[in-house]
Amino acid sequence: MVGGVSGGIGRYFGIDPTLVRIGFVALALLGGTGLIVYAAALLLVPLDDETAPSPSTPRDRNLALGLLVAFVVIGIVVGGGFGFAFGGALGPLGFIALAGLAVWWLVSGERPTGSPGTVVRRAAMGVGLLVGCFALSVASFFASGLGGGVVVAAIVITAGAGLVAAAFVGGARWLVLPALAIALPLAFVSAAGIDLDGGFGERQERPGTLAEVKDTYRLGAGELVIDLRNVDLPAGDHPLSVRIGAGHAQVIVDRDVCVASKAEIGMGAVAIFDHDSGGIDVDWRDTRRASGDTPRLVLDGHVGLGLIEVSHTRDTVHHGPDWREDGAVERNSACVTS
Amino acid sequence: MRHARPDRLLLVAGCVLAAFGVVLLLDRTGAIELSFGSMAPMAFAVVGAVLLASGLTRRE
Repeated sequence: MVGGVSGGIGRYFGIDPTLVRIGFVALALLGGTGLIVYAAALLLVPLDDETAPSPSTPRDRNLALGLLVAFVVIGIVVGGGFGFAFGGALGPLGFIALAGLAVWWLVSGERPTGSPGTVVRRAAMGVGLLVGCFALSVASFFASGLGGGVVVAAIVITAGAGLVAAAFVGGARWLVLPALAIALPLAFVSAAGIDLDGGFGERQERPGTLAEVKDTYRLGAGELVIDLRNVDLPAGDHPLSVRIGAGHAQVIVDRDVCVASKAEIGMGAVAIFDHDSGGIDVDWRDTRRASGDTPRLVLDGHVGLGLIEVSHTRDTVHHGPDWREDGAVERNSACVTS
Repeated sequence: MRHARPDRLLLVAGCVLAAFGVVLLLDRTGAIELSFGSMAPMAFAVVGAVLLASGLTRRE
């Protein structure tokens, strides 16, 4: 192949260049990603007839880390685009295998060299470690969000103590990865204030009378729609608390209802008619007054991860002040303008 | 009798992780309230401590 890339890579890693060529051809057929990787290697890898530098341990680890990051980025950008379109799931699976190889190299120091069987075994060990860490992360996330955060935090502390003990008895450094896989989701849940208690899925609430309106609507994850248009709200304040761990909450009110709102969003956005705010740690306050004969809905929203919005119609998800397809801008027009 | 030196990277990572766990425990019990704004400097400190330990380990 052009430029002696396969030979250079094979010599550097101590594997048969034929295997490298087969890998490039396979990736090229699986959506064309092999061509991109090959082009990058053409620029970065010493040619076949050049002398590759002797890898030292720090260099190996840095290279493994770089490869891991590169595989993940390429896998997301390329594999998620036309790679999926042309190669199905095989392209991303190839990147996962390579990432597994890099992970195992990083945590164990065993380079991807030797016989094909040895390389496959090390890739499998790396993928297994990745899959295990992913499963731990998912379990940690849901356990933390469903009220088990204290237990998960205790596990993190125990894992930290275990690492300290391992430092004295010569434990494996790869233990840091599963420990982080447990700690980081809990940290995310804590920072975002995600509370998954309240169920999952889509839920629509359409109370017909004021008595049917609950004080608090809660959903763990999913979409929650509270349609208050059938409720004849009398003049005065009507507090409404909406809590959703992750997802989308929408409150729909008649045009003659004034809405005052406050909301805390861990990560996401709040959209009250034509006003919105988004990002992380969003602390929303929109104090509005209503005239004497106008009902005022006082919304207290809490969203860990997602969007909460108030509108007059059940429309598409908010995309900015002029989000309605018919061009109409919804306003909080029932409130007193000051 | 000469004792083997502990793995400094594991030692620092373990201590940092345990301290991180204590902070998370305090948040879960309601003693403090974490946000992304307070979590970000903490995460940088954790990564920095581990990198520092890793660098010092390599120098030895």
